[in-house]
Amino acid sequence: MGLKLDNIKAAYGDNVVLENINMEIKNGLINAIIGPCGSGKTTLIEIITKFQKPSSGTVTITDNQKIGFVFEFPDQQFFCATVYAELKYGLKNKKEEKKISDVLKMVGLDDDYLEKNPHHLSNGEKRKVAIAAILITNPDMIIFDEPTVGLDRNSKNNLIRLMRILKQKYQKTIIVVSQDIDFVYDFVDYVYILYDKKLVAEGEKIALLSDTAQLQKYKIIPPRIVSLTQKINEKKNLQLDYRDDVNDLLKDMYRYVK
Amino acid sequence: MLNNITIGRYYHKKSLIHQMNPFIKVLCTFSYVLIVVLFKDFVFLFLLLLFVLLLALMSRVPLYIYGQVLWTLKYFIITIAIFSFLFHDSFTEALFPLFRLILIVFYSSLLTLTTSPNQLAKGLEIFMRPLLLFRVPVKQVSLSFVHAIRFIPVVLDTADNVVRAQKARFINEELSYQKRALNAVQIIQPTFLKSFGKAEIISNAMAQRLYNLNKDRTFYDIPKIRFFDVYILAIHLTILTAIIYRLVIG
Repeated sequence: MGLKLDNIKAAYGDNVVLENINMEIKNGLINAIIGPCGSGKTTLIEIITKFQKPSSGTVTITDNQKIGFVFEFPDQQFFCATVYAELKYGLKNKKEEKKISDVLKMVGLDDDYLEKNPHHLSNGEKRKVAIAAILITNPDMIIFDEPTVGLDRNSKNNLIRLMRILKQKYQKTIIVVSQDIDFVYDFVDYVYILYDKKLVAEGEKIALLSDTAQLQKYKIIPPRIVSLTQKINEKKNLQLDYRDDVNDLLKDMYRYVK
Repeated sequence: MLNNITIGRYYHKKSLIHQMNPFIKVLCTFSYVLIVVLFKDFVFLFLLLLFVLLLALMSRVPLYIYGQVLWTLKYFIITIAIFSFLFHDSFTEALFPLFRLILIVFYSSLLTLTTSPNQLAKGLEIFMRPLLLFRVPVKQVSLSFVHAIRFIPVVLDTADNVVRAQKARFINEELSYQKRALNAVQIIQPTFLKSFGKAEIISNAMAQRLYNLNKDRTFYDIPKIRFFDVYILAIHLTILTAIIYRLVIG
């Protein structure tokens, strides 16, 4: 267990935005928190990151784990004039400065970016610099708030690749808050669904996100690959398993046809 | 963090106070400030507090919002209190400036919380119109004044954002005092740079809407002077006249 939320309640005056949230985020997994607009995702993240205090309940972070938070809009995360200064800010002493190039390389950028103004980069590059600025602090857990906003398919794939590396090679725990259900279904391990201020469901990605009836109840559109599998099964009367990779689905179909 | 600072913000509600004519509101505020400054009696100041409390309740803006405005100025109020206690002989004497300051802040926040920026600009412009005789650029001054007040929340939001951006890198970490001091210093520069950026966006947006300071403007939604406005103004002016009369007569 890395992070535990007990009976979290949050309210702005009389307006309750989160109620009775009990959650355990396990270490070493890529977790996703999904839910429709107004379900309380952002407030929950603000409580986890200690930007906001809950009205009641406790947040326990085990083993003094360090947490890094990547903002939804990278421009809001930058406050230095150059990429170099932005990355240097997260370092504890001068000896660590060689980390700057390593971290930039890790997110797919080179040293040419160091003297550039982070606000003048493209959306994809800004996102990479924002991630690098967090990675340089070497957090145990990284929280991404809506990481796919403004990214094209190619950049999304690069982001997925990076998150997988962070999990597999560096054993980081990742929490992704997103409304991009296809992006979430692509690579996360465990999913939490927030609906109407409450945590209504949690579970393994495929089991949870292939239950379309439940998703519709919580006003979440199922992932496209799940809908496709369901349609094929219905129309052709097959029993294809739900897959998170379209190539695996094609292989299954090929097997059936054979 | 800093985003609970409500100074200079407009709080949209439908109330008698919100629907008042902005010029009358500015006039009332000016009169109230004069009354508070001229009169030196605790019982009377307490009655003035009840009066502004009544207006605040009528504005339907939650009272805690007014509390937040006062809380925002806590360090300023404390400084005034220290100086006041240092320079006055008696405790009661020293309390007067403090009480007055609280009343003035309370009443001016009633004005800013219940008047939209456009209306406030118009109200100030009419209020300052006599200064045109002395060739004071009234329109420019009133608009700059209103923008300056309204820009306080923007600057604070920006500063809050910078604080969050700094914190996002060290969540659940104990920072040394040196790092904390450095963080505090590093808030200033990006806050100003980002605020200037936002000011530019606002000026561009105004330019795109063909805003021209040198031309006369029509105002779409300036409320007319109604009976309630006259009634409230009459209360203010009566009290003010009575005080001035008493001061002059002795």
